[in-house]
Amino acid sequence: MLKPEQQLDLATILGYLKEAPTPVRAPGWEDQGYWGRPVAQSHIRSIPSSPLWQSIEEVRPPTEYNTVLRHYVATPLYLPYPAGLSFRLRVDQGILDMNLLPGVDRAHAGGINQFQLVKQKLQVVITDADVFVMEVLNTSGVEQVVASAVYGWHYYDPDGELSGAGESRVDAGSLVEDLALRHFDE
Amino acid sequence: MSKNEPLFVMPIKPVKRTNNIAVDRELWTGVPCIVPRPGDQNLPDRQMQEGTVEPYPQVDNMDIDREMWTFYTDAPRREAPEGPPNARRPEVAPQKALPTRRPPFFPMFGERICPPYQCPGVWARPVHQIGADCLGFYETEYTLLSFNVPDTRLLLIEGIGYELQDALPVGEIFTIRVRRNGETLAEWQDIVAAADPNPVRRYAFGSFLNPVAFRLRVDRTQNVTISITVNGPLPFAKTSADPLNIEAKVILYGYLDQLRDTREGGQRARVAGPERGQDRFAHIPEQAARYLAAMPELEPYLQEKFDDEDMEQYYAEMGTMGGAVDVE
Repeated sequence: MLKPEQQLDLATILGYLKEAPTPVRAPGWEDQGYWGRPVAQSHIRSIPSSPLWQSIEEVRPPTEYNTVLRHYVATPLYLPYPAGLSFRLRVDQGILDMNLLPGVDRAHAGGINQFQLVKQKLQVVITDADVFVMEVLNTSGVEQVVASAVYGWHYYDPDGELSGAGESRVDAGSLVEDLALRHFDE
Repeated sequence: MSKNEPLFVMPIKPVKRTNNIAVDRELWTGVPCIVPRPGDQNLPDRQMQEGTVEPYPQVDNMDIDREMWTFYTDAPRREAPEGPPNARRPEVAPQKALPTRRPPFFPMFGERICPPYQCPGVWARPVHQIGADCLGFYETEYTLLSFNVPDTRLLLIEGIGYELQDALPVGEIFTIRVRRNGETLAEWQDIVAAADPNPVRRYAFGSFLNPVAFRLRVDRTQNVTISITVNGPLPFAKTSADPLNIEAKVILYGYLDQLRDTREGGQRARVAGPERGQDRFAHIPEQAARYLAAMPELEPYLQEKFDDEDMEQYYAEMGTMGGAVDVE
């Protein structure tokens, strides 16, 4: 239970909140924070034919940062989509998606890519111990020009864990929940 | 039409009188009694005097409520208590004196505002800053835009677009770099992908109208630069000695928000706020004094000793926290 002087502190804070607009920032995995850094990288690469998966995009969060990835582009630059070309997304050694949609262009029905390329949705949150890799496998026998991009942001989270894991997403927080709401709200 | 012929002949049918004056009137006149006729007002009285009809109830004499609710049988109201079975049963669990309740603490949470590094505030100014330069050579970095954020503002970049002169042929790849205070924060490639005269459809990833989604906070007095390097077509065989001579433009979309130092979730003075690591709670005693001066009636409640045990008993008797029910 709060001591009287602690109650006074709490009341002070509440009164301050009443007086002033409360800055409530979205958590880093929802929106970029003050210390956030952007992830916006795209490449046009010529991929030689090879039986091996080749890395085309790689995202490593900086130290003490986590990374949210929201969009990606993975497509041959020019259509038609060649047989033997496939992409995959990987986090560390785990494959996220092997079956990326080939139609990442805006209107590929006519046989040509119309630009700009459509960004596909993605939701990946990784820590600074992880690495996000986009890979391409070109077994078509000829070189392929491939466009790839990843968009998102790094957010500062020195805990090194994915914030919010195992916590209720609706609680305002233990302090408010246990101390303030219980005794002061009616 | 002769002069003496009436315009309208009211059809009067000689019928037997009924017991209902309304029916009688309809039958005798043959027209709906919409228009009041002379003698209508005292017609019931006259017929009552004649003793031919029974008086029908006047509206003013009727108890409409009683007539409408005759079917309703009043039943004693029964309460459905919440919580423990003995809650609010004084014969089983005698009610004790309740502890003093605090007054409700009205807006516990104030307005939610978005920090300026996440969305623009009321006083933010939009920014669409264009920088242009002539690119003389391949594989040479040209700074198209350099933006110094003023001392009282915070810049929030939301997108970066670019256009190059149409003379740059299809297949040419260029690299965009964004630096904040000299530190490279992002670097991406784009390509002149189609010979479309519409610049929106000319590049693979970004243009003026479809800027690259790029969220970056640039604080006051910081500097942000956007530069471009034309690498040429694949394979990259161009060198910095190859002349290029085209024009490139870059646009920066964002907001210049009024500076309020909200680092670490605070809401400090905008310009001369304490830096990181300093005492962020030094203002609390002042706020306490201000708060108590504004609402001195709350002070006894704040100083009151208040234990968990009291509340547990209280809530056990109430059954639930918010389940207070008025007992008549």
